[in-house]
Amino acid sequence: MKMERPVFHENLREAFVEITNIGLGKAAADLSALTERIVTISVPSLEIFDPGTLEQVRELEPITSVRINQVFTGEEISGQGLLVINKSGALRLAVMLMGEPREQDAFGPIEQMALLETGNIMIGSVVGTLANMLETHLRYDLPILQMKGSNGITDLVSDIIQPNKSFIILVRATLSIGEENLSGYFILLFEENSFNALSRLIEKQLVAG
Amino acid sequence: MAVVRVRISKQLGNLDPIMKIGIVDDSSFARDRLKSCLNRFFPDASFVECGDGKVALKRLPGEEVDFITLDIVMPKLNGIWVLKHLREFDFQAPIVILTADIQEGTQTICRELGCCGFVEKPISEEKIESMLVDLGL
Repeated sequence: MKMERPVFHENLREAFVEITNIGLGKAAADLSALTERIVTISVPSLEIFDPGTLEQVRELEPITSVRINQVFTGEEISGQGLLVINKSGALRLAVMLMGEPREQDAFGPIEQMALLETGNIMIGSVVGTLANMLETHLRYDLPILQMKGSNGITDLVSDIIQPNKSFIILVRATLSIGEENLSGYFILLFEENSFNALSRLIEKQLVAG
Repeated sequence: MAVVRVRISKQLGNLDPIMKIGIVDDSSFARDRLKSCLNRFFPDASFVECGDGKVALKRLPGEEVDFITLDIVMPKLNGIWVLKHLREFDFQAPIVILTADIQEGTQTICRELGCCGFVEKPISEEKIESMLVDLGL
């Protein structure tokens, strides 16, 4: 039986967004150091939705994407971090990362490895900041890079979430790099069993001041 | 006559054998960036590269390296297991964790297992210089 979809109390919601925002700031600084360009990331939004009705958040731009996702697992919290960039942008990002011109339209193992490592660093920044601030510890799986023929968020996450779950906590932010008109998304997904732990750990930090 | 390539120790001003550095990271992109950065400090350094934890455990105990950089999230055996096993094998070279896993809990575990430094990715010349100073190099 599916559980009722919960809501974060406003103070917890604000704290969760702020903690994620701090992690995203570090991730932006990391990406900026790697690309030697200014990286901006929007304030994240937080949504809780039923995976069976993903249409609710379909308003994400439909893009053919490169998705790097990495699972993290802890005793209390588990979820996934995703870095999503449209394919042409991912190619340009790979060129920036390697600092040398590559064969046009080539998206070979070297480019993929550069993007994988970048995704790993950015996800590590956001998730690690979250874990540090909530005083918990998480283990990481290896990051995975996939091309996704995307029609919005449905296609981006449908293969990595279980539709029988009652709800998914989704935190997302847009990122843009330099003046390259290169943008993408950073997404954190938590499954329903993380909700209570997240609430409790955030509350604990709020009480501790 | 054999040509002996040497480096000059920053601290002692004496001549040491060429620097040999172990790099354990599954990302060739990360290894290449690190080698490029280390070469700015040690142009003649040689590297023992390991693309996963199993390879590291097989190769490194037989190598006389000056120090090792070790990633955490890797296939086959992660860096924490590699660190644990290397220390259990009485492997003496300094091991610096170089990872995107910035968690304080991970740092604590690694220090308890005998790492002697922790560098957060992405690397920079400043971070690597600081690491080398901490290693006394």
